[in-house]
Amino acid sequence: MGFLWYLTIRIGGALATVAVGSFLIFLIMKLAPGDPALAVLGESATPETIAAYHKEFGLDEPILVQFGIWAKMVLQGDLGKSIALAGKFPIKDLLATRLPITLFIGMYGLVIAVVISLIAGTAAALRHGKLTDTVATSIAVLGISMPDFWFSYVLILAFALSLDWFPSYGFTAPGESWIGAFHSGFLPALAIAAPMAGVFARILRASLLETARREYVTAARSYGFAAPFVFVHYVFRNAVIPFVTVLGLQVRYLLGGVVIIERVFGISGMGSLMVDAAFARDYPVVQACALTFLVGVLFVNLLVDIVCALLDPRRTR
Amino acid sequence: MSDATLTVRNLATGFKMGGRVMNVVREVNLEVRKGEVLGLIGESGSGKTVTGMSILRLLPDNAVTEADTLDFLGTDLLSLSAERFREMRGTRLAMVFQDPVGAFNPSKKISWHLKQVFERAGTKSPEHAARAKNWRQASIKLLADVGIPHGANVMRQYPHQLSGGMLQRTLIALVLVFEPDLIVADEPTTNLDNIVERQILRLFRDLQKRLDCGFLYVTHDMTIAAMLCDRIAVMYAGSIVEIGPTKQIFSDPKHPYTQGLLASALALDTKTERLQEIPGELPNPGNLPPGCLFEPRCKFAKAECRAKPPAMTDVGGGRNVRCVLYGHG
Repeated sequence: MGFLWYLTIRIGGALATVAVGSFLIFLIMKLAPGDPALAVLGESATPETIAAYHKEFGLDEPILVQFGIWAKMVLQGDLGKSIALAGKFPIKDLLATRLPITLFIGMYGLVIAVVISLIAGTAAALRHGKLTDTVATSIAVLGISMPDFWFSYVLILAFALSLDWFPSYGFTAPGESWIGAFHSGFLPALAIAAPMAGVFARILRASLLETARREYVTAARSYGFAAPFVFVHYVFRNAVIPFVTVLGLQVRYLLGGVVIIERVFGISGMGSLMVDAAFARDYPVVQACALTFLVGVLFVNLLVDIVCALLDPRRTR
Repeated sequence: MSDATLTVRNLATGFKMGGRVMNVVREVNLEVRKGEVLGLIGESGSGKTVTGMSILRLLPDNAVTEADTLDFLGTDLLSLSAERFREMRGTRLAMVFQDPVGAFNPSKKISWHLKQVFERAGTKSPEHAARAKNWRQASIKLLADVGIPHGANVMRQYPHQLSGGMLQRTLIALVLVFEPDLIVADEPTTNLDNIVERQILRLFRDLQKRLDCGFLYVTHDMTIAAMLCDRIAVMYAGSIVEIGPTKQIFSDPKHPYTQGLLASALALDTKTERLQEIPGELPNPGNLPPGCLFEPRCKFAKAECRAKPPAMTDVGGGRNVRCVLYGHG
């Protein structure tokens, strides 16, 4: 099986998952209790105005037809209009302002988590059983165990309110100022990164220690290769494969974290948008958000699979 | 002995476990001469692998090795710093591993392995350095020497794409790159099928003749030992119980354990109706018998065997036996 064949299969699988996933998202939102017409028109709505509303938004058609209409629109780049938000915003425009913010915070957090875990996990494995290992492992457990909203408040208290190094609230979009984005996004990104860094560091440490016991590492030593060479090309090179796999699996938790963190730090990203829309029974917006998250997670998983396939020749060649 | 490549006197190796050292190998005396194959034979858990690995200092960090002498061509291996010892590996000392599939970096092509070993060996001499420059051509020639005619194709492969036999041949080619003075092989044919095993054994014979080096061959298989080894050291529970020339040991085994090992190996060849086996099992290294370690399983055991461990006795013809039946040393 060649690499291109593997790539084709993986992309095909991802597309199929998007199709099934988007139908499920559509279905669940349809089955949810509450009539959007009532939410918009209020308690004083008459049966006639409700029926007229249903007709306008196609809510009286059969479910499959509704899904068909919606899917066709989505494929044409039209995500529909918000029901609840004043001015009936096109959802596309909403996403255009919200998505970059969440993407920025999410990637920022991911990069921080990866950098911290690479350093901590490698240090712990190299100093296995020593003080460095104990300290790094304990901090990792702390990072995993802390609830992210609580940790956010600790960060705000310490670095925003007491030290005044970072803003406690709000976010400067990267479109306005990159420096401002990195500065105002640091605390939220760190809050998202903490639990992930803990998981990543522990996975990397375990993977490094496990790989170091392999026969090929002893073989490398028997050729008289220098210790740093053996570590980089034999131990780390092979230990990083499970690390990248776990990284891909954690991205969906990243999304859950974004919803909470955006709330705590008052950031108007995808997470806030989705929560607000859900409370307003703004079905089209919730659908669009869920679809975006679905595509995002699948895209990252696809990316991770490709990286793993490049790193591990046993998967494709 | 002036022709000794490796001289081991009173080697003991243990593993630190929860504050105390568990000794698994003790009182090992052996000598590997230039141009000979010494077989180190014993059942699983007898300490033969640990002996081989402790000579090359390849055991995990919790291993403790002590010896009165560990001499390799005039160099005291015991007093070498870690860095100096590393310089000996890949230039003068080599190891061939039990599982050829596991001995390759799974993320790298065969060509990568050859290139690295060639570059490493380049530090040994100007000739080696010259060959390291043309490592591709030299690799293809070496692979042909070990029975891989399409070396260029094999070099483009990843380890998992090759069979165990091919990988073991490639491992041998890697050893040939730096032409060591001592090779320690740890059951290198155990994971191969019978036909490939014979081919690889022949290859080892050729390799050893070509390099004229010392060869310590660790195995549990008496048949392989008979085919390959000039001399045999029989290990039991971490000690050598008998050592001598292969022919004499096979025709006239002295130690009761050697006799048992041979009887069980011969039983397979002659198809006797019952499989001969040695009753009992290896003693626990944490709870060794006070006298002879084989005494609990020995059919000749008597009171004096339990009193104290027997010493090695020279029984003539270059043979030594650790048993009271042959005197007290």
